[in-house]
Amino acid sequence: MTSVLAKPAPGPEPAPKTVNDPGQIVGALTSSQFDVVDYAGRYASLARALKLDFSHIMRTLRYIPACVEAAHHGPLRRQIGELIAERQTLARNLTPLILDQLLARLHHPGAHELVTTVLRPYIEKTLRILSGIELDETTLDQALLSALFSQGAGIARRRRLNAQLGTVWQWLDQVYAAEPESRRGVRLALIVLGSDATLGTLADSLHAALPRRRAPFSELEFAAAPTHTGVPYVDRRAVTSGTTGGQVWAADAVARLQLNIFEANALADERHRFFGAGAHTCLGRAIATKMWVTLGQALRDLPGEVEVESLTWARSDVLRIPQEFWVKISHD
Amino acid sequence: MTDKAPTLQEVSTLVVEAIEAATGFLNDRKTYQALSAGQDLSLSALELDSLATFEIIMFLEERLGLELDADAFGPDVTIHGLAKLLTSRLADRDA
Repeated sequence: MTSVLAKPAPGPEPAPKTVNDPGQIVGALTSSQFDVVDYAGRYASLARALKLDFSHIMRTLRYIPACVEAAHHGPLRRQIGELIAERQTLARNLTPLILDQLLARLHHPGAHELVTTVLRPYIEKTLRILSGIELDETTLDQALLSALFSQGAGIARRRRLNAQLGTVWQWLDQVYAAEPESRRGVRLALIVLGSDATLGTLADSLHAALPRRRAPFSELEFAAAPTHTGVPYVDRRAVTSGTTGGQVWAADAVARLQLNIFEANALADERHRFFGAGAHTCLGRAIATKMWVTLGQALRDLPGEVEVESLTWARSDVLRIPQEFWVKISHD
Repeated sequence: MTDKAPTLQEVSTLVVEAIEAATGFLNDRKTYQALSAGQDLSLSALELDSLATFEIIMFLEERLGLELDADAFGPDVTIHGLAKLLTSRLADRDA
């Protein structure tokens, strides 16, 4: 199975070059000159050198489109798209009910922390419906998942993630034993790709939408789609030397494409380029947008007034992951 | 390590042991003399590659029972600075 993984670049990986130009970003995302960076190769090298077992991580990475080379990317995306399509009607019908339950506490005045009480459970329950994975029956701590793509995560965190992914695979192998391995893999890929990225996207967009001075929930205005992204950048490796978007790239150079520069765009269609472009457009875009719209509608129905108190971010070198998001609700 | 929280001096010694295990840097006479004389040393001067960094991280995580990320090895960090950071984290954990 290792043949489906992105090929390791020869020698040490070069430092990424940051790209802030919108045209160059879209160019690199849609150009065949670029392919994914070798996340699996990094893990393989580390495991070999330090004699560590990252087998569950390696097994998981085979089913993450952003981790497999171009030839295998399309079929994998199709499988993920099919799984989402099968389950999204159910998810769309259930998300308002999920939110009703989660927002019940916001009917009471006082200070409320939204990441642990609303946003993370909202995403977790929705992803559970989409993926068919009962996370309660595994030990998976979703906050660990970004370590899959991190270059800075320490060894203990990676080992913990590997062990936890092992419990998910064990569960999948039992419950979906009749399914092909790849189908089980894309179920897990939905959790991996959807957890922290959606959390950052919803939290940052909500932070921008909620007032700094108290205002009635009923008067809040929400954009028709998220305004911010939890995925500030993606890295892509040049597989050949050449020119893309007016920029000359040497083979094996790594481009860090700053997707978050699109947030500042006044035009919604331009802004939403932070969901990616071409073959790498975010597969969860439609469902994330629906989750955002449903959240906005549910919040507008709440009684009382709201104001933002604070939003803090967890340390992460790959995603914007909110740690705590406090709001104050008043009823007088 | 015993159950008692290690002192800054003990953690500093452990950091040196970790770097030595990963790089053999004490074979360099000047480095050995500088450390013997109580001088601090910048980690960037050691030009650690990513594998050596992860070896050091794993050594320290296993000995101290902490989780440590590579961002603790920033460009301005010294052996003493890293030992202080680790001692502080141990104190927070045990508080």
